[in-house]
Amino acid sequence: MDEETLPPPLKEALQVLRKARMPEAKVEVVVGNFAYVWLPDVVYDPTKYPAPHRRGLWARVPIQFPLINPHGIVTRGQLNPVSSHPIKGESQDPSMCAPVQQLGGTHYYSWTWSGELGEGPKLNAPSDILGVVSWIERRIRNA
Amino acid sequence: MDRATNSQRLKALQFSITDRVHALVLRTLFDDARDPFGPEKGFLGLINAGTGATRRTLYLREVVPQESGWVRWTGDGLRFAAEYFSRGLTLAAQSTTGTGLLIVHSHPGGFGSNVSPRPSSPDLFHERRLLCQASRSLPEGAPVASGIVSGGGRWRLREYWWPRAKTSEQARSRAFGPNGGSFRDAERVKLVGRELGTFSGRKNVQVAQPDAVDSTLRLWGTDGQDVLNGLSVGVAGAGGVGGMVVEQLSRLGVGHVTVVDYDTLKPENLNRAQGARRGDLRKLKIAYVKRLARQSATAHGFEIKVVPASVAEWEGLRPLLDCDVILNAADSAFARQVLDHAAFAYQIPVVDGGTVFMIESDGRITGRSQVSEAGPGRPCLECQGVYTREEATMARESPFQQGPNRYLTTAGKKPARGELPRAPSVISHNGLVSSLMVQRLLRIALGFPPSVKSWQQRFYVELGEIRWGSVLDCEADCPKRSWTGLGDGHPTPVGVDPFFPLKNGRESTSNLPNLATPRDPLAGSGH
Repeated sequence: MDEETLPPPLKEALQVLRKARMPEAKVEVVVGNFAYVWLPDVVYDPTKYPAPHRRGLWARVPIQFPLINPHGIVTRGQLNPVSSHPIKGESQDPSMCAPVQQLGGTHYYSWTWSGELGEGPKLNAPSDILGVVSWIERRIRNA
Repeated sequence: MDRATNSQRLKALQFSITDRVHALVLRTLFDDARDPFGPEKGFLGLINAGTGATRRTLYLREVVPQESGWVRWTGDGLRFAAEYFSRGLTLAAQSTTGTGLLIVHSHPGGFGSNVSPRPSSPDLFHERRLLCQASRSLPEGAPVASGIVSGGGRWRLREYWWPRAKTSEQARSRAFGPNGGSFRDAERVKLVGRELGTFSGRKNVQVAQPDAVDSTLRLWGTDGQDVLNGLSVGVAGAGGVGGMVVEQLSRLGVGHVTVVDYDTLKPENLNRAQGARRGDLRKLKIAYVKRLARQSATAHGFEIKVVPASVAEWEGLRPLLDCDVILNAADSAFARQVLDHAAFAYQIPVVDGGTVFMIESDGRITGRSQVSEAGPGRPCLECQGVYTREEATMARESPFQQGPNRYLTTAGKKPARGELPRAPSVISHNGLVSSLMVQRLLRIALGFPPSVKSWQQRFYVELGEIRWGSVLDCEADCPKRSWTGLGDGHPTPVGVDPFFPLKNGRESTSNLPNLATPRDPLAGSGH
């Protein structure tokens, strides 16, 4: 994926993300209005999830970020907490994983920014991408 | 010195300024009302450009603050200090990408004058010299322009372009110096606030059938009819509301109408598609809307442009950026958000209208028909609750991911796969909304009727009452006001309309890997 074709605010957000948090983060593919952003180092709360506690996943970040909210994540394998309770928001629609299926994406969780955990942080600047990662980690922890 | 030649520069040029900035300009240039014939004054301004399908617009966003003595009259001309230019260039560099510089001076006297000022030979000599230098100091593509303001508040504006020297030899040649390059004069000046002022320097009181508009001429006279004749109005959506809006505009004598919609007419639309025939079925809605508008137009030389596209994509938005006012009848949070941004970034007042019906669990029908305005001098649609960011997010998903349409709540029933969610629509409510929208246009363009209220109006279905909304301004942390006049420098959130391929037979862009980001057709053009 040639990131040069992305809108400038999203390009800037990716630069911030790589510099501050995940040097290997990248846009895998853009489908419609959403970029599948590979986040290689997302923290899974060790009290709630079995190892490994740092795993990669794809976040669906809008190409109009930060003017639009992220929507959904794709994981390699199902989210299985140690309590083994089912995680809400899993979608059975396989088309949502299709763009990253060859890379190992198997499960889609259609988490919205104003979902069960309440409103996510307000997104105004490209640097707010860091808040997106924190929000995903919090969402996984409390899922 | 040549006139502009390349395709971008052949676009008609207009200048747009908000009433707030215009008031600051007049204070800066004519603060001594006791001496209207005093010496010339001047200032530097930060400008940005916006590009429509056929029109380029320059926006004056800010007046660069000046210290005493930085702009002074010397007896043989106005002098701008190097420190002032340095401040202007620094502020332009610190601002949004694409910010350029405007140099303005006054032509004193004639406070009542209605004539646009004309530059003198020394004016032209000095502005070329100063702007050529500024152009070299700014990033490529940043606009440079000169302006003159008369005591009566009339503007003359000219944009210049200079080629970029690639070698030191080129830099020394005349073609790259003050007398090289090209220019274009603004054909129109637009003053944007709660009302709209346009000055084209030409009068065209031309009515195809004077008898046909006799009733309105009695209300706003030939001057008002001339304003409508010179007005360019964009209509987003040619459905039940949009179709009626277009017919009202054409009958009123609006001179130029642009309609954007990609949808086709279906049998279920016939109970509200005013003027449509069975023969129009399965054809684009804009086709019958265009026919009706032409049949009903009263303006001399009436023009209607129809665009089979989505306003949520550049292809549909660009033609609307040529317009003076946009009336949005597209029932989509995606379209609403895009137009909300455009209203501020491109300084185009947007009037949004629509109806929400809700079927309660006990079978009662409630809802509201609503009209809202956004843009300079008004709160944004988002702060007025017309859409939420989450709705705008979900509207970007495939229709089958979106869930039930917010304009129809029926106990959470989701559309089946393969079935697009469809909102209920009643022609009488469409008529109410379209009339209120056109009424807003008349207030914006003519001050008719002279009401100061420009905020939301709601007709409550269950009450049968129209009430004014209570949101008079944006929320404190809303950034949209700071986007005013950024033009193409603002990342307007256009994208891929997920309904477009399903309704129009366009190749589906959903769920296909490696799809390129939707490209602005102007990308790479230098603007």
